[in-house]
Amino acid sequence: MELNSLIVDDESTSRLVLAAMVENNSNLNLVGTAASGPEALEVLNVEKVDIIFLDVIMPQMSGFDLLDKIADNQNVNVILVTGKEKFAVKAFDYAITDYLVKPVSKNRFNKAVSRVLDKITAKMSSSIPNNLLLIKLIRFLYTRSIDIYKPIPSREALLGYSFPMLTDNLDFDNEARALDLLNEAESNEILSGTFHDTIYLCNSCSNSYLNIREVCPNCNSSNLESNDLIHHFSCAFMGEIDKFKKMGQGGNLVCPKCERKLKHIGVDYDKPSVIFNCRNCDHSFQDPMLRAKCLNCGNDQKVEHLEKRVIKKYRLTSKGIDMAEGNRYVEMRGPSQEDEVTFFKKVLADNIKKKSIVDFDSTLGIFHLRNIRELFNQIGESGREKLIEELHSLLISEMEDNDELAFLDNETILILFSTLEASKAKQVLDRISARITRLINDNFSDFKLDIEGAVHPIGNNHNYNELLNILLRKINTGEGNHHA
Amino acid sequence: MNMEDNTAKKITHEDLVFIKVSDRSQVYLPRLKSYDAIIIEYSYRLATMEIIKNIRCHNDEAIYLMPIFVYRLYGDSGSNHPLIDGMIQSLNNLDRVAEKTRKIQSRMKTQVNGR
Repeated sequence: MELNSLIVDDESTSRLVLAAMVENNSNLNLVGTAASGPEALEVLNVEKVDIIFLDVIMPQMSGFDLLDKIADNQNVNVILVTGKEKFAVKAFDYAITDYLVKPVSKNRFNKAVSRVLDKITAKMSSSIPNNLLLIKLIRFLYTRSIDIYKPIPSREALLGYSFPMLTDNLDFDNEARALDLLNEAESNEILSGTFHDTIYLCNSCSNSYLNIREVCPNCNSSNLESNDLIHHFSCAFMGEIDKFKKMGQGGNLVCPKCERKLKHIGVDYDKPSVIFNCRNCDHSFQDPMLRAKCLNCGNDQKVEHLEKRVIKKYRLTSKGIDMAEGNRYVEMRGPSQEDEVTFFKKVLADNIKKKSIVDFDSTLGIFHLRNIRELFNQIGESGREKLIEELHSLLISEMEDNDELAFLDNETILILFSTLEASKAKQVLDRISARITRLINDNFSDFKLDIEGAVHPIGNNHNYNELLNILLRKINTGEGNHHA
Repeated sequence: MNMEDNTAKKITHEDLVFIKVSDRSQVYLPRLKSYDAIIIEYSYRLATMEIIKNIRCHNDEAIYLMPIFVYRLYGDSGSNHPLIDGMIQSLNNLDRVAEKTRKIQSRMKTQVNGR
């Protein structure tokens, strides 16, 4: 894939450096450089641009002003190239893909470009709208009078099961979308499902072909040998079977301690367990760890981190038949993170507006889960979703009815305490911090969460960006409460 | 299917028109709309499956819902793939194919009326 690139920067040296980087990246095609916003608009009017490397501070028109002018062009990815990190906060509002701080290193530049490419690829592969897929499925079931829609075991399918018509319409890497779509269709009462099977999937790519094996708890190597342990009743000696074999001849077992010959298992000795020896690090142990290596993406994960999914067989409901006959249309779309933030901003704006009419206290709180990405990498996409869900429930349980929360990204959470003064909001925040830390410790004993929280009273002249800036500054300068 | 391709054959049965294609031929999907059903002559699994998948993955309803039958002279004709509407071992009697095609078409038309 080659992305048409535009560089917008008033400094000629920066333009030259960036142009060289663009030209050296095989995924980029330089279609223009511009020294100002108006010049950039001219290029945008004639060229199809996929990615803009945009400077923020420019005379005449700032980078953000330029974005306001091209806001309708949804397909342009923007990488902010700035001398100051403070613009990163504002970048949230503009849904900017990434930002680079000057001087830009080649390595960071290429990483930012590959993140854009990943984003575009993911968007392309999931571009079939859920509704079209669902309509295709239910029209197929209806026209074929299929009573029970069953998953078909298939070695060629990502999930190990194919869902005819559904997984056939998805790329191999996206076949797990079929399960989400079917769940959504069931919750919308278009299909009714009954249990068929339970499957375990790679937490990174949802593949079902996994090599599950015992590994050394010390070095994770699967290069193990196992030996039976023998317990000799009469002298209470316990040791590996090899030691008993060495003492005997012709395969006889002789106790190394009392030198008696072992005769009958269950009568004078037994084999209570197995001992493992790691050929890689020489570690000996009785309880090996079970790990699952994905044969698709190579991710090696603990079995308890595998994604567990239930596979169902389905029937069309009367509502589903109605939809298949074209008498009813059900829009299926879950709330996205972007919607959540937009809604949060609206509630916050209402809260601030009310302050000009009535005098009351309200506070904005923030949590930053600094190292949570490391944990997300370990537990994969499905584990991440489940953890976010649990965090969501935990936060809700501590909030009042009129409070609001939003996940800015997976590591930053905002809470609007709509009727609490700052000192009381801080108490709630501390309590939540402790509960989040406990939740993580209880479920992921080998991970230590680094969490930071801060609050700030909301004034009637504040706006969302100002408050967010203040809170981010507090947690970045250590003014907030730190829990690790 | 390429109309110049001599492996494609138009078959008329009562009021229905089927198109029989070899699984080795190129199938131009929009042209399928002129027919009531497609009969794919099986020679090897991957080729037949590719045509079936291409049809079922099309976004035009007249194509993705098109009745598909697989004509296989030899071999197992008992196990139906869930994406096809039937296996046939002979082209001499297409009554069963016609019956199934009419049934699917009547249900396809339901939505046109319901709209």
